[in-house]
Amino acid sequence: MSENQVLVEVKDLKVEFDVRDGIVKAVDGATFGIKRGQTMGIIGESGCGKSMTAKAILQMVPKPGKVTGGEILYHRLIRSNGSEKVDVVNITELDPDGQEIRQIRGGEIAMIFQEPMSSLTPVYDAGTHIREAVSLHRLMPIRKIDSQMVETIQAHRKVTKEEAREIAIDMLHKVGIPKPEQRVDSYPHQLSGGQRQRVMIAIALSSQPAMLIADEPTTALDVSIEAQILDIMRELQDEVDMTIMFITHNLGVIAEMADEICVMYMGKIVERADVVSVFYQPKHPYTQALLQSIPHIVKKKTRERLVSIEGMVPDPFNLPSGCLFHPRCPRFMPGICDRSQPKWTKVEEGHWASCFLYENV
Amino acid sequence: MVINETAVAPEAEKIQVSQSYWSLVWWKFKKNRLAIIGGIVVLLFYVSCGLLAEFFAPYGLHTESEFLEAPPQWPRFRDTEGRWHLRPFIYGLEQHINMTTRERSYTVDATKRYPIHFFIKAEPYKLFGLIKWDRHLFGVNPDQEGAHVYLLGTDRLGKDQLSRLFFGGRISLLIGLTGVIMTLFFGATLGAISGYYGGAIDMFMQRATEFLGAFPDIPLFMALASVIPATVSPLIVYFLLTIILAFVRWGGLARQVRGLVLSLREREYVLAAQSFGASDRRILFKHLIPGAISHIIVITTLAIPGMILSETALSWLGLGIRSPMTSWGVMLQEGGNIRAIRYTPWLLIPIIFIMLAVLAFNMLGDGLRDATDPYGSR
Repeated sequence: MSENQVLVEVKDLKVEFDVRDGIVKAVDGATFGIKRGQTMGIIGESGCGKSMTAKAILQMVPKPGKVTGGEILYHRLIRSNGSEKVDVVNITELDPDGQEIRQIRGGEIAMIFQEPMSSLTPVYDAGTHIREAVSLHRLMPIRKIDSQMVETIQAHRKVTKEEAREIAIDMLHKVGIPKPEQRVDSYPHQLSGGQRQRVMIAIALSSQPAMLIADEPTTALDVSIEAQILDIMRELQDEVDMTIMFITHNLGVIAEMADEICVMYMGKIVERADVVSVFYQPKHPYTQALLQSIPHIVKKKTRERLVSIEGMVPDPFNLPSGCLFHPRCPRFMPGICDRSQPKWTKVEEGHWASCFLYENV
Repeated sequence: MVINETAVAPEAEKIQVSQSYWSLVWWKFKKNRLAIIGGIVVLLFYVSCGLLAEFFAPYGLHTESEFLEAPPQWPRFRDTEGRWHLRPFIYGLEQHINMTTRERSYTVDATKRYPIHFFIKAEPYKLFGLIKWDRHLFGVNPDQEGAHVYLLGTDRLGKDQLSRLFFGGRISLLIGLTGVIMTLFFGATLGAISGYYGGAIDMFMQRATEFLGAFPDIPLFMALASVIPATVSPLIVYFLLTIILAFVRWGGLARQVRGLVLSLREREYVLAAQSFGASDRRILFKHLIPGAISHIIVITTLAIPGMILSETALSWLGLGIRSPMTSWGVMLQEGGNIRAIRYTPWLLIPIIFIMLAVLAFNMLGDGLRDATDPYGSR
């Protein structure tokens, strides 16, 4: 498998919410691609469309929201008889209640959520949750040997109950839960927050998905548990060669996890680059402002106030003209930024931004 | 794979035994004495009337005697001459008819003494409609000339009232149970669908339940009951009656289930289940209804007495169960006139049984309601 193979391509995605006061553009023309085995970080303020992009990938945009434009191409890898074939599925065209999207959800693209406290159904124990995911998606290979051709044909069957329990225990062991044989029978209220998030990860990984969408998976956890969860995610990613789409507003976490980062502002992607470039050579003024607002432990003047981004997030019903960031931008150029929208420009190799500062370079 | 050493959470070492939700519920339920009593009474009713009425009743349902409207007889240990007997016995009854007023009266005939035997061989019957047997819990020796025992008196046709109470209880209690199961089926399913999908479906269902709820009960019952033809067998009448009761009563349960589902579907675990590719039906029946099951159990337990009372009222009005089938309501129908109250008050004894059953169900339901929230404090 080549390194640069794309797994998910999002092209000009638009998600809109038709509410009483007008139309809110939750995602407005997001375009990015995620390569196999890569960790793509998506950062931005609350309400900038990070989670909505993730939900659109699974066709799970809640009502009254709708995907109104663009496409999401999922490059499904089909292995048969040793050869590999890529089948492109346009997720935005699938019926959100249909059989095919349900196969992709959980089976090929799994998602874990911010709130491990409430992501598990309280009436079922940990094992039941994992077994459910396994029985919905995972198939066991059966080797059949055709006597004449002496050829190995792989067929698939559903996992039996005993196998599912074995898988559940194995998965709990992998995510670092102590005594998985006992914990598999524990109910969510008997697990701590960190353990619950581990169980969530175990559920997500149990059906061996190609991609894991982690929507702020550590926001509700304390810092020491956060570090453990991130470690586990990275270890498991290396082990099974999985793609991760990591959504967070925590810049420290994203610096540690991601290979490439998309910065979102008001439903648009304003900058995209590999992790080092974003942190050391941020191009877009919004990214620069975001990075300045990180508190530094070692500072020259200890009593210095933390830098915050000027102004407020604009009202979604009353968006500014031109570049959406211009009212707050420290490098606002009158007559340019408030006239038209900036184009998606390649600033350097592998580094894109949408800002007028770079359009004539 | 190497597990991060710090990943081993220390608090996991302490808890060894997993307590499931239902064992916590049982712990809390056990502490509630009233609920336990209610539960035992309910259980006794269902065993004695529902399962083993033939064994507990000294006579069969249709066994008639020449003692019409006989008063209750008291078991005695001491005879009129002051001697004590280990085995309880009853004195025979002597019937007098005043030929001018044609008034019937009974006197105790102390010369006839009928000892009461336990586990006695008497009228044969089929247990559960299958097993042939002839033992009764108690009775008088049928070989003895003229022996009879009517601890709660007899009705107008000379049938033993106690035996009829057991058989009638079977119908009354089972109608409560089957009716509630049907209500549960309609109510829980429709309520859950209404709450989960919302929108136009919800709107339509809510208006339908409101319409049913706003309709006056008794005229609706009467209208529905009048549809039942008079010629069909009592068994079919029984089933139609349960369907009618369930049809009228499902609205309340549907509303409560809808409310629960409405709050549960916003939980993150529904989103999580959806993101793992679970279908709507799976989410509804595997993730939402189990979350509401404890509430549903409580609602149904508290709904059974209402069903029993409805059946009683309908049968009393003559719209429900008809003779020769017997229910507590049918028995009350005989006692429901001024003549009965004046001359044969023992025909009103079924009221005591109805009250006992209803109270026991309410006590059980209240206890369950408290117990199903084992994490809440009192």
